[in-house]
Amino acid sequence: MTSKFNSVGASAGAAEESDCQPAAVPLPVEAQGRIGRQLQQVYGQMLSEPMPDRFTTLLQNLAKSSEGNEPESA
Amino acid sequence: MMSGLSPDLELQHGLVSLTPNLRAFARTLCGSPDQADDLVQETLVKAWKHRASFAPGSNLKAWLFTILRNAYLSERRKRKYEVSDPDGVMAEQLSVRGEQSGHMDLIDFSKSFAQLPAEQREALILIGAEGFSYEDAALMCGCAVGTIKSRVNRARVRLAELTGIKDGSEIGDDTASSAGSR
Repeated sequence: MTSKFNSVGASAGAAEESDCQPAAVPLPVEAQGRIGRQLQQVYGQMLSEPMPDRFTTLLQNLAKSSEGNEPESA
Repeated sequence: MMSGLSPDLELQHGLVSLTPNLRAFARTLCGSPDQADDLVQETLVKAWKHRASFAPGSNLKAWLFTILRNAYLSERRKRKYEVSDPDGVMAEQLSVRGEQSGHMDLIDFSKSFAQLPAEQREALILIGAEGFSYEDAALMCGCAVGTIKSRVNRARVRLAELTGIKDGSEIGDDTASSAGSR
């Protein structure tokens, strides 16, 4: 059961102009597979990069800031 | 599901493990790695500030991606972001590796990907790279499932055209690069 994700900082997003164009003919399955693999390969390389210090530090600081503070509701 | 950790600690662990995904997603949206990382920073701060609104056990990645997406759209409305570098952030990312390892096809792919409209890049990443369901992606993007499917398909068709992946042709084949074939 999925919950509504739309919460923090949400606002209505207008439909993009390209959404109104007629639907393209679906790509052959084999071509879809090739694109999918390339996409995952490129994306996977981005995922496996080391995290910059700024985020490690930020996450540690956030955890410390929760001590004694009450979290805000959205 | 009950690990004995406090919700705050569990969330912090979740943020740490998902920050790479947020960074990658942000980079496909933004025009530069620095802007992407700024966006991720803003997302993490917002997520922590509003952590009471996250239901433990629900889809943390979807919740975080939605926060990031909303922050991106908000900044874009304020015209904070420049127009995307036509060569694409992913292409910059790979250009050095590509020259070294010969993966020129991935550079072509990244450059082609960068030419897609933002909503198609987003849909393709959510569905094809991050593995969200169409239903979840539609919820996150605030549109119909059919719209997501349409964007994904259009993105794939356009990528196939730009990279020459079609009709079973391999990238780099002479036949794939000839214009107007099939």
